[in-house]
Amino acid sequence: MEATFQSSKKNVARTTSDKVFDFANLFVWIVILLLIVFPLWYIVVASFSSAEAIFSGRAILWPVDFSLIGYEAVFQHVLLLRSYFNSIVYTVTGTTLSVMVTMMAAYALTRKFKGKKTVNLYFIFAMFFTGGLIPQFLMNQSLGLYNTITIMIIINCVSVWNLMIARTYISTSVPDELYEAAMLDGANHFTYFFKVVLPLSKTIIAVMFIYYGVARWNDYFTALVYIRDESLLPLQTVLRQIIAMAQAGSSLDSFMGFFGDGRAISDAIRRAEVVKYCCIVVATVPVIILYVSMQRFFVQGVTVGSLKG
Amino acid sequence: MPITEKRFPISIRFSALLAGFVGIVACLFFDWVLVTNSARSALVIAGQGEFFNLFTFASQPESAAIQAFLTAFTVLSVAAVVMLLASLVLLLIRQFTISKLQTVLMNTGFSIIMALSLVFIIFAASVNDPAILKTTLVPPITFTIALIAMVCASKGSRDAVKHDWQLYILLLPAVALVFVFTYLPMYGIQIAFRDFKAAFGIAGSEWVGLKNFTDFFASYYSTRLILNTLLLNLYGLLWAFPFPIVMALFLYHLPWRRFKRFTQTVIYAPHFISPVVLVGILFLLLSPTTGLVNRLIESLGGTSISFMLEISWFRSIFIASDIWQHAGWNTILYIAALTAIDPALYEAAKIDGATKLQTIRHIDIPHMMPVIIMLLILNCGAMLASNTDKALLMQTDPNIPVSDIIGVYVYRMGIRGGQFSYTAAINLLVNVINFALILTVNWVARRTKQASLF
Repeated sequence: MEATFQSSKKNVARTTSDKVFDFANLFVWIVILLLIVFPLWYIVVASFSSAEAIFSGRAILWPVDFSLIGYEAVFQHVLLLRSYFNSIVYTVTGTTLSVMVTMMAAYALTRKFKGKKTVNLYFIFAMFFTGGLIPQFLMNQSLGLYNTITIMIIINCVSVWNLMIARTYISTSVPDELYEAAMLDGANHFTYFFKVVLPLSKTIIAVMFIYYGVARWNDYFTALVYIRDESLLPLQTVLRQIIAMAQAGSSLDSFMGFFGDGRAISDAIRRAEVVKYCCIVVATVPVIILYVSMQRFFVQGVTVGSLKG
Repeated sequence: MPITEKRFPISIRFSALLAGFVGIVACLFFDWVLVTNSARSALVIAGQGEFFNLFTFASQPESAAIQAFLTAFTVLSVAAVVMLLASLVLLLIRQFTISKLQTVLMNTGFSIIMALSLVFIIFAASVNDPAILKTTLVPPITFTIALIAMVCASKGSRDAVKHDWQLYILLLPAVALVFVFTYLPMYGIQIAFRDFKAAFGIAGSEWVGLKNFTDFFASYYSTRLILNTLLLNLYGLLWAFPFPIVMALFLYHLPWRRFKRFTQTVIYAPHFISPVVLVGILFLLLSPTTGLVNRLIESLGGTSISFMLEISWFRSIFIASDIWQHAGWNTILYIAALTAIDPALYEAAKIDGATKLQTIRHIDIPHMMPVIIMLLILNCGAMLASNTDKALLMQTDPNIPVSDIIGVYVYRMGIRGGQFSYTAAINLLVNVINFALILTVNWVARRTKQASLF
């Protein structure tokens, strides 16, 4: 993709008006990048600064009064650590299962077989019509899945959208000649899938890992509906509880605002605010690491899958 | 690979046939019992006699509508049974294959019966009689079983299973998971027509017909919920839609390769931030006492604003943060469309002395048009969809009048408030509307010769 991305301009000399355009373009992009990066950077800065420095507005571009108070509180927060562990378990097992199931089905859907149209319709209908939250909740409850680890791992296990992307990728990137050759050599669908298709689909497998992994890591709503025990909660749901205190803080804000003394907040509340910055950093770092490490697969895999899908 | 000519042993064919037959008989019996029971109670109420059967009941002038309904229903049932018997006879003939004509006949018959059944089901639901509703399910069920039996026992299918059983095994986990989490819950949709009590279970709760729906439309919340959902999506579309297009154009024309790559990496990144974290960032940055934004406003001489509490700010913040998070990601499709453009076009434009802006205007935009229109149409199909995750997080007590969208309301009143039937009805209504919208939109996309979804 990158090759065609560039070749369009190489052969042609740039004129003055084009240079003006290019530099204006560059300028605009720098502004956009700053707008995207700054809020995230600020959260990191604030998480390393003292409460006083944050709220007086001195810590903006670089940590002021460097402190780790917030992180100390985060790593002493038993529920948060427990939920962090839970989230890792749910994400790793759930994502692995999802990717396996999706790749298997995606391969099957690239071959011709009796009933393929029906199966396709079966999946596509499921993408556009569901029973809705309440029937889903009641059925899963009656299946005995309420408040279990199982539901955190297998709910939303197959995303039809991802299935279609993977199918498109396999059918465009794995040539049919390979299938015919393998079949002549006596392979069956299983051997062909495991020995030929999977090794040739590394890109889309990486993309699937990111899609499913990030979705599962970021999901707070499932646990909100299906989990009652605190010890089973995933990170995002606990994070929501901690940040929900920000809502309480906001009513406090309006209360303070009413008395015209915005600065008169107790130390405990200030510290709780710093902890929130730290929580955000701690919760987002794994996703960013995953994204950056998988990045080289990314642009290509996503485009191929989405273009024709 | 040639398809082998061997067939399944006769015992398997016969047992499949037998299973289908038993199923049909069970259905008919079930049907008969229910119709008789409901008819008896209806007639007892009407002061009529006790002895009758299905056909005589249809001739009793109990109610014109019910009578017409039952007559048509009986005809339909008979048709289904005839179809079934015909299929059974066909199955017993050796080397049975489904011809093209038979396929067409089956498909047409199937569609007609399914459509009629749907009308009957709606009618039965409005009569508030679960027994009648259950009987209306008999023709479609009979028919489906007949179809499945025919297809399964035909020669092609048996060979296909023998040849491709590994493919079916590969499909099985995905099919099963989708069944459990998407199709099985559809059984629970019926609580939208019942007064659900946990003690009685889904099928045991009292049947109330369309009461939950009429309650919703009679309530003060219905307009507000629908309007909030609709407006949030509409404003979101109007504001957010142009961003990825413009960004893709300018990104594509960046001449510095490494910078372009870096930019792509950065603008995709916010897409992966979780809604909890995003809303957390909003709360922290916009807090009136401690947030950076209000510090800035104050230092410029303004007064601080409680962004997250004020009704007037909810939609703006919601949409602006959506743009911040997803605009970069949404450039992907447009960039894919741009990379597909033939480089010769640019060179020709260059030789003709076109500036970059002219290139964008006359080459890039026309080439992006199909994707733009497709995405626009798709977005129009999602006008009543709810981004429940984010709206629920952004909801604070003061902003409820605008932040209450359908998904959030269903969660709050249903899961938290325990009003299962009422919220299930709202959810069902919206799902049906959304589904119809998507079908319409896809039909429009096909008609306008743009790419369609399916």
